[in-house]
Amino acid sequence: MGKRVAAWIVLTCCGLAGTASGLSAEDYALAGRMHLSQGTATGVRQAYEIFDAAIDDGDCPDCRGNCELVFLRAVAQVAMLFIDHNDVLVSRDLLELAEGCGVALVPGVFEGLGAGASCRQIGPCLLPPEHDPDHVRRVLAESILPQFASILSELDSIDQTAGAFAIVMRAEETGVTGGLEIDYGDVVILKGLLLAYRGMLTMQVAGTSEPYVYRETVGPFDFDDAPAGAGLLLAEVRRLMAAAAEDHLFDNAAAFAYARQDWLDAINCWIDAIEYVALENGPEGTDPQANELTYIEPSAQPHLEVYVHVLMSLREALQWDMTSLDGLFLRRAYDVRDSGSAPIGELVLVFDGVRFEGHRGRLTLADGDVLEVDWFGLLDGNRVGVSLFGPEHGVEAWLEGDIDSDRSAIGEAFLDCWAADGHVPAEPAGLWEDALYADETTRPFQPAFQDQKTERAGFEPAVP
Amino acid sequence: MDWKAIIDSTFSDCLSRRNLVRLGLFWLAGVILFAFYTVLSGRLQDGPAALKADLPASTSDQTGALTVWQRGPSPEARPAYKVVFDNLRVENGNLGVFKTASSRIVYLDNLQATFFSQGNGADAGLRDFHGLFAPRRDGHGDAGSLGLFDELQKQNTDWSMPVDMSNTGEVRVRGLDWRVRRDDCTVFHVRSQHAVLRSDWSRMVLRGRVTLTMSQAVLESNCIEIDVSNESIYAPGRYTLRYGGATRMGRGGRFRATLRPAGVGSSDREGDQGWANGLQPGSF
Repeated sequence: MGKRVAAWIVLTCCGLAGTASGLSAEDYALAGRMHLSQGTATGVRQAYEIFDAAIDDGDCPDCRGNCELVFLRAVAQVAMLFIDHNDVLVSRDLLELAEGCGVALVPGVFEGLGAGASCRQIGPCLLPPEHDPDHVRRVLAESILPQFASILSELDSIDQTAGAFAIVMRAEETGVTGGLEIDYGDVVILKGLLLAYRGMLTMQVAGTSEPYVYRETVGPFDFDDAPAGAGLLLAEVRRLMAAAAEDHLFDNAAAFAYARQDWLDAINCWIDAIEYVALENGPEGTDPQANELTYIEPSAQPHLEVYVHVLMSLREALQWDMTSLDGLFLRRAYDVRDSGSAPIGELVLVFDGVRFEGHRGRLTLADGDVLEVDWFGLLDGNRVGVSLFGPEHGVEAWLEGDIDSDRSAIGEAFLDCWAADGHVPAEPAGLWEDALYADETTRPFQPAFQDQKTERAGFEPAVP
Repeated sequence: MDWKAIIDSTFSDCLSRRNLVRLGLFWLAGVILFAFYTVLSGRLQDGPAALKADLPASTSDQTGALTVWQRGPSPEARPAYKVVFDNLRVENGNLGVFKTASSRIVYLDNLQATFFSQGNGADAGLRDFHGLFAPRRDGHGDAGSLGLFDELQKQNTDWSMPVDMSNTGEVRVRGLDWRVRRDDCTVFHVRSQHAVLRSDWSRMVLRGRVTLTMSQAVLESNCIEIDVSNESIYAPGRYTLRYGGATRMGRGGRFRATLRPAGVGSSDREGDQGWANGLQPGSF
């Protein structure tokens, strides 16, 4: 019996050693993902080393060209850039860019990296004074941009064949019950984001002013006031196009062309990603979406309509060197009806950016009265909410209903109107006007779509 | 040789059918004892100080109507809060234009939250509300469960989470009625069509004819943001502030929790400084 026990021990040791010498791609991936999910700089570095070793492991038959390993190494490598160059890159910039471009990232991987997030606010933030612009440019040109090229090249190698690439992250890694699936659509989204980011960094190298991505930009977008990053995509493209006309960039025409091409490729990636993700579950039921990192629901139609319109307008503007982005803003008219299908009025909305959100528009009531839009946005799925006001009469209103983009209609709507002087009208529409205009024989003309945002104050901590 | 014989004997005994049966019986007895202890200790801990939740049968992604009372340690103690809502529903969250399984959104329909303040201070219980309904961060990043259900799970052993709310990054309330009562008087009252709380925000965003009533002051706007980190209130758009018979309308007003203007610059621009300083907390 003693000999038998000894043999078992030897066999076990030999077996383990044998297994260790012949690790599979799955073994490497699981080990690396465990480190990656820690969300720490050390974890990311160790994960990168494991993925890198896997791809270089000649004894691993299924490691070379393994899409999962390639993707995970790319993610880890991007995170490493923010760790190794925390005097040049700030991880929150990438998150904000993602949100501004309508493809928000899961922050888990990039949070907690200690990447010198000196600028925490959303929107423009000048380069901190301790950062030497020349140092930033040199590091960008010599180290960071070449690595981005390498990462993007790796992502290009991931197979597009449907179903060929899917990673299911376990609950221990993500906290998501039942696992989280990452597939090819997510690869394309990430690729677009990295292309856009590289375009911004390229412009920093080419420019002569402070090389920071969120310089103050002119135009109607107030970053402090806008919903997180809503106008960032537009502002950056505007900056890119305006820079082309500046004298100092004539010497860097090639860099400008590269940056522009990166943005064009990024926009194409996002359009491709939407197409891919939207068709993933076709025919219905072949690929259940509820456990995926990104998927599209039918209720997202209003949002997607705005998003795709802005992307295609930007692409056209970039392709043809158009300096004007006048046609960029989507404007839509909706027939608004209450729960009994009785007409409330016609609502015209002008979208600020890539979201179904904005601050401009007007509601023309069935009786001809006009209310201006102060804010609008999606509340829950396809439920839209609109803040309205009568400009000179102290009338406030809230409109809410279910939007149907295909039919340009808002149904099941209710309009709650009240007078700001304390008198609350009994009926939502039609009746309150008597009280409002009782002392007036004519109603003043109200300009539509006036810019309300210039008067707004930012949200700052209150004085204690 | 003796040593080897002992080892051989031990292994043989362990692997014999009789010993395996004995071992199985021993484990079974342990499991029964542990289960008995768990049930007994749970009943002992379920004293009068525990939260009481009245929960109907639910499906996997929603709870139906729920009423929760939190009382003090003794049966005679005054309640701490009462929460009532028509339904709680959990859905996947949003990532830009996409939906995502990486985070969840909790929807609460017709939430009525009443807090019973014991103190004499002017606090309006902003942190209490945020603490109960804002999702908390967990070990995986921004998302976590709601404070209310954390409390229920910790304090009442009869409670079991009716739906999976892990990784909740956002809470959306549709129909909010939030009160703070002191000495049988309502000292703070908020009503709105919608409210949003997120795990990565210290502020709540209320939309849709928001009225915030305190003392003799009423703040009304289509959007009000309440920041619990510094207990300030901000109306980013058009607002109306009423005090007694006086009415002030403006844009971008910033106030302290007592509805006094908080930002000097803003107040100067809006002309609120002065008259609003006269507001004092009290009952209405």
